[in-house]
Amino acid sequence: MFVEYGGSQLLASIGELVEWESVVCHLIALVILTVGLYILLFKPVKRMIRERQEKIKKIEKENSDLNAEVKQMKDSTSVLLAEAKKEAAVIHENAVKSANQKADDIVSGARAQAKSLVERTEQELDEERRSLQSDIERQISDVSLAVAEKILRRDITPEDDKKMIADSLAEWSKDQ
Amino acid sequence: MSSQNKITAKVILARKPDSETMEKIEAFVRKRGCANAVYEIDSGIIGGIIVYIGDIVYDGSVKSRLEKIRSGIAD
Amino acid sequence: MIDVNAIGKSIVKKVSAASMASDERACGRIIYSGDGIIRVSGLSGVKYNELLEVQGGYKALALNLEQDSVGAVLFSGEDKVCYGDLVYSTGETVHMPVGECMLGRIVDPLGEPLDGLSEIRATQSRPVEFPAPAIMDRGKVNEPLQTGILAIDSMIPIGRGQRELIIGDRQTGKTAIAVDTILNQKGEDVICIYVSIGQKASSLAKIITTLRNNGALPYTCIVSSTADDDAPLQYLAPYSGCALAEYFMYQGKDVLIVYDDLSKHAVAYRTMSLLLKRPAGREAYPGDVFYLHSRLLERAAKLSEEKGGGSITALPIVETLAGDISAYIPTNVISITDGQIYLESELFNSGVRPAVNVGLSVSRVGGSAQRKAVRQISGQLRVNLAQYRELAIFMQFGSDLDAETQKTLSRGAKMTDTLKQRQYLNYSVREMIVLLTVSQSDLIDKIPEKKMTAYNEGLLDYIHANHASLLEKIDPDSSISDSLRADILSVAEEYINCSVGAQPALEGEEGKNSSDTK
Repeated sequence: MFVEYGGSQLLASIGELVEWESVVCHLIALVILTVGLYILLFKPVKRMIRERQEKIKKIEKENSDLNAEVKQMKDSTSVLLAEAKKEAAVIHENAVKSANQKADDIVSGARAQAKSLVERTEQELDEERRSLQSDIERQISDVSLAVAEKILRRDITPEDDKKMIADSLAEWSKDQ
Repeated sequence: MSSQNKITAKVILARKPDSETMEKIEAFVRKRGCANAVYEIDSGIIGGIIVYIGDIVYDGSVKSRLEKIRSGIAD
Repeated sequence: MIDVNAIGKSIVKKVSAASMASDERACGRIIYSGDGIIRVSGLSGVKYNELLEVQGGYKALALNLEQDSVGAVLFSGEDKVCYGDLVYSTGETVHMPVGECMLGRIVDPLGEPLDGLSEIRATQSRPVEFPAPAIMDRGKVNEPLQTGILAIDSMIPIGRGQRELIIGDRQTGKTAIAVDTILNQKGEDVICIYVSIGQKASSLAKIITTLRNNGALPYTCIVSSTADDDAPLQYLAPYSGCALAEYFMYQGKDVLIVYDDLSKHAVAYRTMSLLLKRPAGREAYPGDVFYLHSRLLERAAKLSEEKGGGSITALPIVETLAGDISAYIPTNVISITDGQIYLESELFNSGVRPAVNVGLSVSRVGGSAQRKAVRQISGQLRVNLAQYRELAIFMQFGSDLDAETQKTLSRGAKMTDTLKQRQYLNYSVREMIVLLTVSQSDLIDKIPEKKMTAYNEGLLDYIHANHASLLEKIDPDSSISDSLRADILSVAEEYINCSVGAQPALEGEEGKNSSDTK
């Protein structure tokens, strides 16, 4: 109540104080000022802010892109690393495999060589025994032949000789 | 055999032969186409007879038989 | 250990077996003996090349038949026979005991064992002099004999039944090639005969040890006459070896015979001829020295299917003096054989081993016997190498080379490296195909020049360990398909990546560029 009363009173007093022309003039001036300010100040500032925002957005985007890239790179390195590890393992395996194979070859070669050496030695031993045996045989026969010769030389009678000659001659004549 | 007509046979014996053996040898040598034979006594052959006629040797000595046995064993 | 009863029994048996018949034999008497030659009076019925028996059990060979005497060479007992000794004719020529029992043995040219092992009880024998197979009995050489040596099998292929001369100065690896070839016949069903003529006993012992250690003796027979044997034995050795080879050939088997070496054989024959007072010809060799070798080498042949299809492949070796292949014996043997492998001491000393001079070496019949796949990929090899050598000689003086020339040179060097091969390291046909394929592809540019040899050896190991199936897939008797080629190359690249590294090509390029700018 009081406010309404006071308000109308105030209005009446303002009306008394201010002439409506000056009010209009002030209003016009205000409008002009507002429009002028709006055009000259607000718009450029707004544009500036928008541009800045865009810039920030762009940088942000770039950042995220970079991040993604980094992440991807990280991923790929680990993949590469894994691959390399795998490859290394394969190479290692191969190397071990071929080394084993070579070792086997060498061992089996050495074994074969040892075996052949033993075989050969056995053969040589046999041969040695055989040659010894034939040596003994020869010596026995030498001795016995020498004895036989001695005995024959003493024991052959002229009759034996005669018969032997006759036999030989008969045999040779028969051949012809 | 005609080519061997003039060849002399060489006969090696261990001891002096008697006439019967001599005759047999002469007959054998003549049959081989030799006119005559030269005799040689070599006790080294122990017994038997060796006859050389030209390129051919007839070896019937005891010594060579013993040698044969020896080489037979050695083989 | 020693059975006395057995000794007694065997003596009794032998005594009873000895013939008691008094015999009748043609004989003559020695009227001259010296230098291993005897002159015999009498023996009018003896024939040329007849074996004579000298009193005391020595053997001799009748070679000169004259009006009233016979000239003969003694095989033994040179210092035992004396004037007046009886000489009997045997009515037969020299025979060599033959049979499977000779394999793994070392024998002298008369078939007596020299290896200290048991007596050889051969049931058969063959005359050492035997006519060569007739024209109609011969077949076409169409099967390869793999030497296991890349340079030879790719460019100078040897067929079964071929005669391929190995010629070169001393110490150029002639024997090494022959030994490698024998080693490579393991499991190939080829019987090998190594005839040593006048070799040093020490080098022969080394060869025998090598053959034994590599398990090659069971299919090899060594006919040995060393430098201290009498000339007649050295003269006889190749014929004896050939008689043994013929025994196997007429059974339809394939035989490889190595005559090491024929120049010493000619020298031995010259000794005999001069001592027998035969007229001397060029270089004091007798007039029939050509026939000496031609009748020996003619006996190496491939028999036709009707005759069993066996073969004798002969690898005669001839030593030259200071690379002179126009001397008497080398020219003779070159003209008799079906091609030659020419070894050079210069190459040998510069590290190219085997020191095969590709330009002067040829094989006249082996090409048709080459495996199809090998023939396909080695066709260009000879031409490429020739180009490389020509360029290399020409470019020795030039300093700046264009990239193309540089590439040709580097490829040629790598190709030469590929053909280098350690002794006793034989390649199988499939391995050869891999090596040839890789070395003629563009991949070769990725391998540094110095690492080529190591790469080749490593590659084969790598394939054996990891891609054994690839080798199985290669069929040497049909041409190589593009896909197979690609497979081989991909494996080779794989090995480049893990042995040399992935970017050697770039480094290589940089290296080249830097050298260019210098």
